[in-house]
Amino acid sequence: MMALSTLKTGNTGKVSCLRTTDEAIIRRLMIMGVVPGISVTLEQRFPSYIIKLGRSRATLDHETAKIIYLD
Amino acid sequence: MLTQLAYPQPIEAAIKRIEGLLLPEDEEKFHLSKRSLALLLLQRDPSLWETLEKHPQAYEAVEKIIEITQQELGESPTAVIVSTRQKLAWTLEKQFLKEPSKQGFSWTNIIHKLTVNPITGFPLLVLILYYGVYKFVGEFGAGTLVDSIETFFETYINPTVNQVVAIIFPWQTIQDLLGNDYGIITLGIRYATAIVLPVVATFFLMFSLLEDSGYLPRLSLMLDRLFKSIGLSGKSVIPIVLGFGCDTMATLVTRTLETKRERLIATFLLSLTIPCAAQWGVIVGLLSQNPKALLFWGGFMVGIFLLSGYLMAKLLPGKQAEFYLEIPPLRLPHLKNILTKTYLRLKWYFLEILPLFIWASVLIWIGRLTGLFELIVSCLEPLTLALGLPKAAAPIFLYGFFRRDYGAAGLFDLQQDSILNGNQLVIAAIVLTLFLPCIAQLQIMIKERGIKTTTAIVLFIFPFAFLVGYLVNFSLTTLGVNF
Repeated sequence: MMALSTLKTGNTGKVSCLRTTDEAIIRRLMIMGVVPGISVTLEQRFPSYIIKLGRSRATLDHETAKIIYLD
Repeated sequence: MLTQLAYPQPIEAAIKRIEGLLLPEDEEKFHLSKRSLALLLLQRDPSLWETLEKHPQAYEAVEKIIEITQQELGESPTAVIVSTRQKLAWTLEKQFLKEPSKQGFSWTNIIHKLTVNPITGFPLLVLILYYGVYKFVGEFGAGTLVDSIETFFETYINPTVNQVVAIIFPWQTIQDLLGNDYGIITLGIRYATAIVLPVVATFFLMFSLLEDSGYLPRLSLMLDRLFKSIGLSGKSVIPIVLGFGCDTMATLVTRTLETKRERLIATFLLSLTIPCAAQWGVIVGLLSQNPKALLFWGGFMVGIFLLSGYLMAKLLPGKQAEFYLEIPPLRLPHLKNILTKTYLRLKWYFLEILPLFIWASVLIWIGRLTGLFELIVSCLEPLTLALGLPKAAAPIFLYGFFRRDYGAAGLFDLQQDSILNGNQLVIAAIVLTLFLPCIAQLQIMIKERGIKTTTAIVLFIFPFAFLVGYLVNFSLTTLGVNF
């Protein structure tokens, strides 16, 4: 298991869990499509993280990338 | 046919237990089955949770069930519920959806990469802001359009109104209410349609274009790091950019920000440092013949924006706001949609400001009639003189209390009569920019942030605006700088 923040740019991983107790963040991330089982590709990390998931894209900061864990 | 989705055992057990706590009336009250209500409670659905908090015993019981379920699952029940649903959706998708295996070359993808890659993205951002905002809104809207409509008013409408009013009403007092220097038509409606309308219309047109093209979320992600240093996040980029159109609308939009802290900092920065389109449009128009002065004003305001944001972030307790956004695909905007949006925003804006401009004219009229206007202006004169400005500038600060752009428009009149020199124009522009945006923004601020916070912000802004003006004048004079 590794955090999204440690994934190399261009690599793909499968989301395993979201490590936070903040229900609001969990709910919003899941609405964006960040759910366990989906594979994400890290497209870039500066100035913000950009991930491709399914047919959509999302952007997030380093703090959020640290709570998303991949298999 | 409806198949009931089966969740992992701990969730099903929790649903059973919560169902047991629910009454038959609850189903009727919310028009939902007990199972649905139990699932929503398990996910702490905010609106349902509120009703639950009114019944302390039931609240504690549900709280306990969630806690036990969380321990059994090893993660949040919300996460498990959503991913169970997601898995079913994926299975269905695989069964029924066929798509071409490989997507070919796509232009939108290339443009997307160009807008978010730091090497190409930042120059692109500067280009978009320079041409879209500065050139189109600042030079075309606030320059060309304002000049031609203003000339039209000065040449045709104002003289006609003054003549007609003079013929119909033999009393000077009534003539002054409608025409002459401060009349409803010659001042209020002229400011609204000749100075404010072209600037705001061009801004809203540009904003709708950026919005519909899908560029705004990309702008947010490019600026998130910079905004973090002033206590905000990439999400605040939208209200702040909108503030350059209308601070009132922008203050309303701060609702979309997630934390109270971020909403407060954004509201404060909008009130203090972000000039609305009508205001910066007029200021850019005034200072454009004097590029050094314009650059000084711009640089100074950016400095105050960053510094006050940085200090707010240091002083306010609470944690940094997180940033996450969906990035929609870039799209070629539809002209019809853009025009409709611009029209609706302009309509909202005009319904909001035109009455205020008319009221301002009426208040000035009453003020002049009763001598109150002169009294306030004479109180403001020492302040104006302390800023190194001529006495004639005092009324524009009084207008500034009504609306910041109204004050800026007053500055436009003073410039036309060449009463102010370069330094004085810069100082007046700085003080007016720092002022509260307008009465409408104040109302929205009270509604959104509460009376206590608003009072604190206002009590800080007024002395601060004048103090900064005083210090700038002092420094420029001491250093012998002349714009």
